[in-house]
Amino acid sequence: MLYKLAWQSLLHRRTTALLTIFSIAIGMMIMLSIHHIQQQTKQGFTNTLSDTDLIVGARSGPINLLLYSVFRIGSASNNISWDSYKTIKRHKNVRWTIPLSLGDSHQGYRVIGTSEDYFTYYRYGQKQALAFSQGQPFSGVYDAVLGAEVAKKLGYTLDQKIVLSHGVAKVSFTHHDDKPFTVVGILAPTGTPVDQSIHISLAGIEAIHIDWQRGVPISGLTISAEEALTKDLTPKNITAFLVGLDNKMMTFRLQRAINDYSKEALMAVLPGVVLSELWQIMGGVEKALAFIALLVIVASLLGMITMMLSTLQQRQRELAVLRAIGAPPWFMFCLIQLEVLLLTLAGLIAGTLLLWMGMIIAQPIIQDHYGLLIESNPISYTHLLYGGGILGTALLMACIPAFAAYRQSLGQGLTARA
Amino acid sequence: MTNTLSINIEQLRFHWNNKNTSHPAVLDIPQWHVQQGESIFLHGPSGSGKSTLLNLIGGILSPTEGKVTLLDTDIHRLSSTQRDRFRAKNIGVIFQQFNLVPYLSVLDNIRLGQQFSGAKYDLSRIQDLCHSLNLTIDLLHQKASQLSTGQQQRVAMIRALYHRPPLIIADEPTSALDTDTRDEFIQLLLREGQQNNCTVLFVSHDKPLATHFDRSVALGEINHAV
Repeated sequence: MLYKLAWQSLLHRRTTALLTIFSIAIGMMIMLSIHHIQQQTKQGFTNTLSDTDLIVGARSGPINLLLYSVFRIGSASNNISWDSYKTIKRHKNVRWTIPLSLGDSHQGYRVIGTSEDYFTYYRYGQKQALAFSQGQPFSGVYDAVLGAEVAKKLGYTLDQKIVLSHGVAKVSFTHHDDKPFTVVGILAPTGTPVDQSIHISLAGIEAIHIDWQRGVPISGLTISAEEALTKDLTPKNITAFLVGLDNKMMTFRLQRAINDYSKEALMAVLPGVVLSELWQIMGGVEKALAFIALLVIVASLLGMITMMLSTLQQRQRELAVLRAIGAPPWFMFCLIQLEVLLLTLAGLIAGTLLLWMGMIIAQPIIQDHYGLLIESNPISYTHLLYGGGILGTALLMACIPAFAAYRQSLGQGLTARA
Repeated sequence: MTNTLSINIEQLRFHWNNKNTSHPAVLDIPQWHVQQGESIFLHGPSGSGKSTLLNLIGGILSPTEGKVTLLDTDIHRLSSTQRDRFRAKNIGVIFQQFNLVPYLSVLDNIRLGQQFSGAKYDLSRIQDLCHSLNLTIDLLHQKASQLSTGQQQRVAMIRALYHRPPLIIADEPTSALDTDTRDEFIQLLLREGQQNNCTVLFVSHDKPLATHFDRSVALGEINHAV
């Protein structure tokens, strides 16, 4: 009966009730989305690279190096020479290296010049290797391997001819249209930026730039695709490379050796260390956002409590009736608490559904921009914890109107003062 | 009609401020009793303490001195929760107006009283009461707020009568009704009260209504407070 009373009472005031639910839902949604997106991006970033001990590039900021080499965000300020790469590759502790040459794109998807070792040694997630859904690694100069998303979004299949563009902007005006590439392989989805990448050989990168200098075509000089094959296609420089060691214990020693490399200004970073630096920078922003979300929640709860308190005056007759037919004062206390419970629960559920829908919409956008696959279902243990916390706070705050109802009912005589 | 006392008031004094007896007493009733099954018309000018007396009988207020015995129970010896339960079980209350929870259906309003009183749910009894109070059955599923005042007062009467309480307190229940519905309401209340051997304590300032009742009491006669 108490439940029916609370439910009917809320239905009776459905406009106010709905608005209250909506404001709690928005608070809940903001709070959850901050937590959810933060957690999912962290996981996405962490999952992108596994089993790589060092990332080596030209000396700049460690975070910048990590972002452009692994996450395809931003661009390199400088290249490193092929000689330096070969020297470090030959170091006795180095088990494998993956060279990366960046700077070209196709329809906004970044092109990575690399070696076959990419397909052998690159690991993501829990040390998972890349797998091919179709075709095989590149072998010829003009072969390309597509990430899963690239193939899916552009509708490409094997043997498709593609033209690469110079630069990494979405719209490029300079195309390497004299040297088209052929798709020979398509990778299985990984949920990492690999899905958004087009992989070609270092020789391919060299070939398309053979008649270029300083980022522009040399006027009057054109070398055809066939002609380029006869030239020496050993790269002169690359953007960065990933290093795997035989013995993890040697990581710091090699890092120091690379940082002290005398012939060129190189920098080696540990991906895990740089990632945690990145989280530290983002931590402040996260905290600020979480605090704002908390304020939004508190504001919406306060709104609900104010609403309950102000309607008590209108409900005076109703309380008098209940009192006259024998309802003890604590019955009114429970009635108010139950109404708050129902409102808050509805708000929490609505907020979760809103976020879920939001995530379903945001998921492809985030994947396009950052290559990270974000789970759309926001329900997690932490989510339940937050929900429980909000519910507890709401019930605690509801003691104010509930106690007011209790007092009002206690002093209520057997007459309904009109 | 039995000879047991329905209401027995002895040496009752009531001050608004319990501690400070220098306040003049609102009520000072040395002795007053009502037989079970009697219908009493209690009248007096406004401000004479009628509502206070009802609240003392209903167990909402506690007397400063003396005791109120209802059906052999000294109600002010009970805890407040016990008094609430006692009221739910033994007293049917009808107000002047706004007797119903507006957002509940008529049936739910009646059931609310039934549940607090601890009586069994019996739809046919509700239908019988509707029938004898000239209310159509389909009214039961309407929202209380959709009913006319006369209909609402009769629904309140059904709720008060449903669990066959030994005492019904009606505080100016007809003052919001027009003359025709008023007389009909009083006749129905007294008829149903008689059939259930129920004491009816009817409070009003409208003296001509007294003719319907077994006994008419002016509060001034029993209350010795100035």
